Amino acid sequence: MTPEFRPPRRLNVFAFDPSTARSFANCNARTVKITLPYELDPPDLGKPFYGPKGKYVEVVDFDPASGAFYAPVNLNDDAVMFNDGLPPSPENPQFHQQMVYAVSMNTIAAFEEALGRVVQWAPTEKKIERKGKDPEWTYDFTRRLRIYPHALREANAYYHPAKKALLFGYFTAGPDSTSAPSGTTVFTCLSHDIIVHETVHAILDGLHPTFAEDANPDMRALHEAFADIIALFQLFSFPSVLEEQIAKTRGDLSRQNLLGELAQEFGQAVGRGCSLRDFLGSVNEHGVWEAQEPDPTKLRDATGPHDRGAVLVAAVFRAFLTIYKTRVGDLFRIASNGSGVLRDGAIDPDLKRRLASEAAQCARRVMRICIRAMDYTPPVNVSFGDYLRAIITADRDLFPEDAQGYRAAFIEAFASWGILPEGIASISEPALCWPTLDIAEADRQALRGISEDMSWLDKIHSNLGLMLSQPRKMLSHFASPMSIDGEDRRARYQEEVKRAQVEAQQVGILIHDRLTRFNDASTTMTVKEKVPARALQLDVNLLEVDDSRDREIVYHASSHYQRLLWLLMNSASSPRFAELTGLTFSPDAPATVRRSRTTLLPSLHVSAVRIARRQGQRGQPEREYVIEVIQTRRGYFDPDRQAHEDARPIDPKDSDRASDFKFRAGTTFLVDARSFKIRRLIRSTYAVDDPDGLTACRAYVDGTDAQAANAFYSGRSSRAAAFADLHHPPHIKDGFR
Amino acid sequence: MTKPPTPRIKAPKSGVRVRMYRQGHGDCFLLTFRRSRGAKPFFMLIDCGRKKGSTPADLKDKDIDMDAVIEALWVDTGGKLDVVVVTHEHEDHVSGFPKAGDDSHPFSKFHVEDLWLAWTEDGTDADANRYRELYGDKLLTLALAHEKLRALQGVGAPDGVADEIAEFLELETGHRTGAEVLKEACIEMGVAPRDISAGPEQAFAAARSTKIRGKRYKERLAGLRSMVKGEIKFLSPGDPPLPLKGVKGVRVYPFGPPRDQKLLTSLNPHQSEEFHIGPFAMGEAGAGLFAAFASGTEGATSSPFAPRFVIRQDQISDSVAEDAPPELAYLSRTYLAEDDADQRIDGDWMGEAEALALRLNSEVNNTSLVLAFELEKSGRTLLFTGDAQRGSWMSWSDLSWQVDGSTVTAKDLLARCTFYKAGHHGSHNATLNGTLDSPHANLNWMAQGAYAQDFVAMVPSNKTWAWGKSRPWRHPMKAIEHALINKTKSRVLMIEPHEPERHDAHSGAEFDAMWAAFTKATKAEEFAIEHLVEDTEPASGET
Repeated sequence: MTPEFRPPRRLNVFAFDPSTARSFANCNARTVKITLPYELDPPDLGKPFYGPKGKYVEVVDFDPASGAFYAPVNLNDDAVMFNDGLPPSPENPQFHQQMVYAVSMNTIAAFEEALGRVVQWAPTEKKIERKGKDPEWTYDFTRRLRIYPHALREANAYYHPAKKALLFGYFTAGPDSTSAPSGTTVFTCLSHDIIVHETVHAILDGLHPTFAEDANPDMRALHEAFADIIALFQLFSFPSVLEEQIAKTRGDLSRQNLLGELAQEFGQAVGRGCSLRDFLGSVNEHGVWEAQEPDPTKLRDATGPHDRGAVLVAAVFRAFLTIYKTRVGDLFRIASNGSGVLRDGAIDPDLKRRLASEAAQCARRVMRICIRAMDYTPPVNVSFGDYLRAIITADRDLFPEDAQGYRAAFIEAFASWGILPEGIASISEPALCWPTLDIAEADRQALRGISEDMSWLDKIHSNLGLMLSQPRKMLSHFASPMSIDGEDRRARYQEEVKRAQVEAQQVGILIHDRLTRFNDASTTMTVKEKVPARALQLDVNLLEVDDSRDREIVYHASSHYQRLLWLLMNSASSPRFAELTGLTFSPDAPATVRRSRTTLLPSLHVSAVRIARRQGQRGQPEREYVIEVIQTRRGYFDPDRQAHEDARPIDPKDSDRASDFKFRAGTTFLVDARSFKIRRLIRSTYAVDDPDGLTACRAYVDGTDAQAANAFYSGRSSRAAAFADLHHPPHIKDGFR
Repeated sequence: MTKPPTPRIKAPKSGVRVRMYRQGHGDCFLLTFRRSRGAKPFFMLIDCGRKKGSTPADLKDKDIDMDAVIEALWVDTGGKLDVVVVTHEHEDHVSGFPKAGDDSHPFSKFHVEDLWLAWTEDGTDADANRYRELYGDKLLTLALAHEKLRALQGVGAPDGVADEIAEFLELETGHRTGAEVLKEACIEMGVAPRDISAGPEQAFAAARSTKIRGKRYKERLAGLRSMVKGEIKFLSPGDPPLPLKGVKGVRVYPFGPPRDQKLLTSLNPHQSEEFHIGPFAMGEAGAGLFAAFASGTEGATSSPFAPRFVIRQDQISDSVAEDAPPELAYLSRTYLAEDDADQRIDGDWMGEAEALALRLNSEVNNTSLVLAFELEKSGRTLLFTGDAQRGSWMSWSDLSWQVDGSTVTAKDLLARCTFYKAGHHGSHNATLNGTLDSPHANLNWMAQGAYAQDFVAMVPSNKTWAWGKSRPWRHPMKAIEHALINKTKSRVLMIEPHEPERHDAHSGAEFDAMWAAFTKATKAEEFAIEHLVEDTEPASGET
């Protein structure tokens, strides 16, 4: 049966955690209906849809603590399908499965809409032991994120980066619980807030795997705060959940701050969550909730991901409120005959609905701005200041005129909370924008007191253009012998070429497979089933084939370009280019800067080549490529040891040498998809060979390492445990830090 | 029995000689006082134990181990100990004592006159019994979690957790596996052997049903108790200061463990009786583990869902038939898919076990007997905290005594403290931070005024070993080590490295006299580090 149109899938979920026994006033808004776009998981109505296991996620309901499995829901079952899913009920584990599926998919939809491409999970890493050789790490496409709604029996839920899984816990509410009655079971997988939060961790990890590192005070905080911001605005984008609160304000524009109270209530899932929204406001001595005035000193004094993250959440929320109030000012005037002050009593229901829908739209808008900014950050070692610059630049590139004052609102909110990039003299939109290539080059020349033609950049652009649009030719150019000495290094180089080739062939094979499916029915012509992989290697822009909806094709295309770009940068990089981009190619860089085993020069890790599609002010499609390059240096706590290691003879094998921490730096390039010109350069604050960057990183890592949360171990946690520990903040009170 | 030799250690002219033995990472302190009559010194031993495998490298190279150190103690004291103090029952404090009836043990030949223990060891104390019962259940929970983790053999379990828990089980019980702990608990309670052989779950249920009352190195303490010739004293904070028999001018004030259950368990107070899962307050680390174990033993699962929703784990195997219900096939094909074995989560829920282990360790640490010794003439005091943690420190500010008609508070005593035995090897939360004005006791309550001139700290840590572990133990924690170095002006003594080190900040000429006096009173020997605290007025005035 072919559906006549592309029906979206609608599913019921809880907006408020049902176990938290909230006030009766909210009972209308307790559930909401999520509408998932058709193309995310196109329903195949003839077949059951167990799990749910779709193209992005698979829900597996195993409860190891109870030694029990729970049967998967079938969302295509008629009784389920035509009732918008199972009715919300905490008693039925199948509803839990439906809820984690619906909410996580809805979050994915929000990201795809904002970024204009499919969401990818972080690649699956596998260590392959090889006899007599160093173990090899392989990276592969991660098809689905696993979701376990009942994996833990504790008040925790987290994204597990190594397992590519979300683990949700359940627990019995304790006497300290603020909202759930003592003795009842609380399921974290029934909290809309927590599901979105964990899904965002997974998505951000796919976008920027290095952001889970803990190399400066802001990185974990940014992960936490970003997850929390999206969780909050995702809920605010349902107008129905806002209506009650807006009605309470009885049409007083200044009291629209009360939305912050609602935001905090959402965060009050039992056991965790509220702390990130602490700075939105609090209940005063008269028992009345009050918004908190921004305090630029808070960030300076805050330590730890939660305290710092709370400042970022407060800043973004402030920007949201400003935007919202600006947008509804006219509604208030219209409804009050121009005075702007409504009469006392209940608010007009039409006005209430209009206000709620404006607020929901603002929430979506702010959320999109926040998500898009993640393509505009340095690839590593990011700070809150960088994130502000990313927000402003991303929005400005899309909407050159700040007609509605959104960017002004963000700048004001961030500045009033003390979030500012380091070394920026004035807080203005142009100053905050990341430099364009021309500006960066002009600065480079001025700094070195030279004045030369900028035409050398044309060569770089034409190389980029050829690489992207004729990848096969470019690769065969690199495959021919190069000035690489030594058998071992030549073999490594050829291996790199081979790997790039394999990725490109994967793209071809996947597209070919699709074509062979027509064979069954076709009578006029058939596609040959067996074709040598070489013949399938396309010589077109692989990032744009097949409308880029197939995540596996997109993965291999990106991965191909990452390898190809590595070959390109290693074959044609000039000192000028290094100076311009903040990358280091010099053989004289300290020995602790990781070296390539192929070139013996400082190694480059091309961590991403991806496309971003957006709709501009006039509705025109805008496309650009985002390219990220990372460099790494070994760091040591003891400065003498560092000096000693820096002065060692260069040995590329040293990349495996033990070190106390890793210092990373890098640059993001934004490349125009039509002209292949680099539009902007987004450099991390320090270059990889910058001693100041190393010192700052050392101070931070050393400090957190010494901070113990318990009587035995270090205060730092591994990448695998990053998120599990993040949600168990240590409670240090009177101890030494 | 060998005839006790003459003690090698002489009584100090005045005050107390403190020897910290170098048996490994752990506490073993010998305090020597002058008797008012006779030349024979008065010996008090505080703890004797170490973490297995933590012998300092220089002793290890010479094949010297625990027994040899106990032998040295024998020579030092002539084999007669007037008082033995056991602060609490952890491996690193009691492993040097013999089991009952173990006559070949080098400690068995000692003469032990009196034994001082914390009130928490008193079998006639209702609070203590209740506490031990809770402790016993928590320990069993941890033991069973360890067995479950071992059974998973790494599939779907967090890395390294099983090994770490083994370390903590050993600290608590001396056994490295949960099965051994459960077995011993069963045997001790006279449970039929078949319950033990039926598997850890059954042993857990059996041991629970008979209410074991803690197991912590019980046999070591039982062995020690049987050696006592004089009396066994159980001390409570606030008890009147104790004299030392035959010694004049020394008072001993018990500070801890606190009687207040909240402070004793330090973290989440057990608030209301109804909301507990077994020994755990709900939501506490370990509560989920206990809930799963306690109800999931006999066929039934502990699932929060109604039985009609439950598919028992053993119904899902990789041999689910082709024509099986599609729900079962789905679960089998996704969860047990060989390619996706890395995504399994069988053991992640037991990540909580580590939190439980740490917590259990802290709770037992908090039962440490804390003693302050006052040298009457000079007013100097010495503080021995065992491994007392935050909860115990918080309780001291409430303590006061009536001595010779005037009131003495813990704060007064700490202000005159010139010797501090750092708590829990210098770890987090076992030395509190604060100022003189803080409402709770902390490092800066100690050594005020002239007493600051002579402040010395001993940290019973083999730092080289602890920090060199594959997952290092922060013993001592850097911040605490630095605070101690600052406050003592470099006069910090450790088990390893054991030579006193004068840091740059205190190398100036103005510190020369201080350092000379310190080194004169200190001896770093092969078997022990010694420091003499004389009962003389602290030099006043100068800074």
